[in-house]
Amino acid sequence: MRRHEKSARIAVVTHERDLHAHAVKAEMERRYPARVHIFESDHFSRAPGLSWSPLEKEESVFPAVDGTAVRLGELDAIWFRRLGNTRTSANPEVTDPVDRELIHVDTNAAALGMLTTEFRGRWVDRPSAFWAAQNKVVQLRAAHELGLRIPETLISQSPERIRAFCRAHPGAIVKAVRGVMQAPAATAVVGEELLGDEAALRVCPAIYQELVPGRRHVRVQVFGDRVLAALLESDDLDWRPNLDIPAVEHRLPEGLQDSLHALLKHLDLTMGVFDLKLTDEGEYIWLEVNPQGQWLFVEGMTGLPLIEAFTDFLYGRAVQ
Amino acid sequence: MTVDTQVRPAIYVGQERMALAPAPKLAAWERDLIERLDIEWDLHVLESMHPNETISGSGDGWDDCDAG
Repeated sequence: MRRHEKSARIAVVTHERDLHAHAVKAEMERRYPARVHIFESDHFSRAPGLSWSPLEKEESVFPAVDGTAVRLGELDAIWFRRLGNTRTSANPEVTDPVDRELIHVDTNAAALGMLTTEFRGRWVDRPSAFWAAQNKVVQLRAAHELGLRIPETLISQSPERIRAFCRAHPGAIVKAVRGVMQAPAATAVVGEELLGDEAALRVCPAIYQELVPGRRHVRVQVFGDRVLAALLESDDLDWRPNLDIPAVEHRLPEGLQDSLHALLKHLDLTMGVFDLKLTDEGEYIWLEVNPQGQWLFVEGMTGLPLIEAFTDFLYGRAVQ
Repeated sequence: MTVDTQVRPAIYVGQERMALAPAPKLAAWERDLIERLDIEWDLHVLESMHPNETISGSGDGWDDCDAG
């Protein structure tokens, strides 16, 4: 620990058993004069539970995972990583799906209200910013306007437009606009079965994009000023389901790094995890940004010092 | 997705729920990290986790910040 540095109180809003949060807490408390509280937002039903009143004489209670009631106004930074978890192991005695939905929605609403009302420090990142930024329509438009090369894209539920787009872009892919955690779907090539299914095309918008060929996928972690990228090699269109693949550190061109920073600034974010594809011709195609994307696995696959880099970034935000 | 339904959204046509492949090297790294952090966890005790799901990865919808 460097003794001349300022002390900091930091919290992580997340869900149960979040290895990212525990790794950063351990690194932070080992290297900096800082204390990190972890809020498991899907387990607030444990004692003492959430409490808040508009009357200032009633002290609010926002419980950390160890049962500590944390004063949100005394925190220097909040890493707002996850809110809620529809796959939680909490409250197993509640089996009605509607009751579980109510617990999820109302707990999130109460927690978010308390956080935005009582906390006065620095966010990583502000909830309103990342909810806007994670919308694929918003981020695709921003990336395009900033000059990043994006695939030809159609977001639609018009069967006529979708068929015309797919005729113009043979091998086009389909993926979710947002998706649901209960049933994630891999990015897939649009087949004749789908193009012939009028009802499936019409019932819900989806993202249709030109196929970007190649097996070089780039995952880019941007934490403040730092950019740490990894090259993942996979023949699969969507590398996520199989992480048993070659992965190495990758250096991005400086101009591209600048563009990614510009995009984050445009979206009012201080961090982001990007997915790019590097074509055989050496062109980087921008696919998406995950404002609070997973990054720990990239350290596990490549050895990139992401826990250390993220801890430095978060501490810097707290004492800024 | 096991529910019978007449119409499925486009992203589900022609495919079932994302199938995860084992990632033994990453899983071993996670076990080592958990040991170093001195956390008393079993890696896969949650019923909702796929047996091949890594808890540091992005394979099963964990990339979104609102995990709902």
